[in-house]
Amino acid sequence: MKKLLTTSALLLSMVQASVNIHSTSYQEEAKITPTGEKTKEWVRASKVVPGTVVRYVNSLENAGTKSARKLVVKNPIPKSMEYVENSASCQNGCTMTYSVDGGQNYNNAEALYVGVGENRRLAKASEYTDIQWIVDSLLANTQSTVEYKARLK
Amino acid sequence: MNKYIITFILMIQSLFSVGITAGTEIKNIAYLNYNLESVPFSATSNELIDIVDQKIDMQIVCQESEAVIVGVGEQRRAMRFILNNTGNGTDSYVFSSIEGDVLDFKVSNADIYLDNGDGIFSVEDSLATEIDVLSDGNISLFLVSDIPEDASNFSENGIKASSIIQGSLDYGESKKLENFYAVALTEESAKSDVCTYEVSNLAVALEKTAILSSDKLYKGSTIEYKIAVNVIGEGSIDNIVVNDNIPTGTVYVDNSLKLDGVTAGDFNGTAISVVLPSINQLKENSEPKHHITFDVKVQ
Repeated sequence: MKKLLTTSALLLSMVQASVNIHSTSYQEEAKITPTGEKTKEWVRASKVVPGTVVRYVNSLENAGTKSARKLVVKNPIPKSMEYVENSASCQNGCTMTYSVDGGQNYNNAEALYVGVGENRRLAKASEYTDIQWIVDSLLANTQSTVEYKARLK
Repeated sequence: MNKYIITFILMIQSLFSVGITAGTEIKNIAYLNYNLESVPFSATSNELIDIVDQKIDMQIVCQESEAVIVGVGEQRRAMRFILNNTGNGTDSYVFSSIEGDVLDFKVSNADIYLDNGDGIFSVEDSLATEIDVLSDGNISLFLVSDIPEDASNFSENGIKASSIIQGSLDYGESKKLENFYAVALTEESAKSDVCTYEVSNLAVALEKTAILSSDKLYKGSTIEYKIAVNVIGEGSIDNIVVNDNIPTGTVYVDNSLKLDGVTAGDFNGTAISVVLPSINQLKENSEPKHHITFDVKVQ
């Protein structure tokens, strides 16, 4: 028994957590190009007023030497913000699902309902409470991102 | 249709949310689960905090549904406005009177008063200086002016409200307040609106005659007074009240006060008072519309 425990401990010590996640927010800022053209670009969020669309980017970094599998990122949408429809995305392929019950259950947008009985209907994007991304793998020493946009009420 | 009564149209503005209050923290945290060689791990992102900044914005709207009818030489005539703070934080405002494009006459002594909450201009209202208005809140204001003796036709006058917080900031600029910024989202630091004064071409004409009960007046003689009420001009007049003092040396004859032959009005011991129904004058200089009569006896 003692020998078995020792072996397990050794295995765990060989596999160490190596993936970090970091969240950053951006907002669009109007710019004028040197040629005088009006354009917009995403800059770090600084002046967020009601109505502003904020782009949240979650960066995943695998600093280890082994591939990470089945990465599941869950991001509750901040209070006071409304998810912007179809704004969730990921860099290298993923499955995206949403929740309207605070993250207890996730489903595709086409199968996400609110209300009961006669009041049951397809949930609006603004009613989503959480987003989930499932990424199959993240190779060693690589990075990837998942992101979404939300509007400040 | 002209009206002598100022009709305050209480334009009930829908209370709409103007957004999350300035200074509120917006926190974003993401959670990660993954496997490394079938061993499960988890990680949590940094707690990302964005502070909601203050959007400076406001509206000021004339509340008079039609022109305010005034007479030449009238003083302290009021127009009502509503200022709405449509930003998401408390703002401070100062006010000034303005003139509109239509200016057949210029008013004088224009002052701006803060309504005491009853929607009617009265002595209980105070001069509006610097006023704080909460987010999503509104205040009622009056522009009060004197109408010149030579006034005619129309005059647009109004109130300009200037945000002290925005001050000289241009559109899109911001400045630090507390733990957040105030962002100017109005093209100018002020908003304004005007209402219209319209000088009425209507006037009430009273013609009083006396019929003596005898050629000479003796103690106990009766004098019948007759007041003909006419409207000069075209339009309608509401709320006409005719008051007349009982002459010195006479006493009012009880129950003699009549309007168009029917007992009406009041006697308060020194004067009679009669409220007339609305007069709708379709053309100028028609016959008297109403007759008031009352009797007095010589003492």
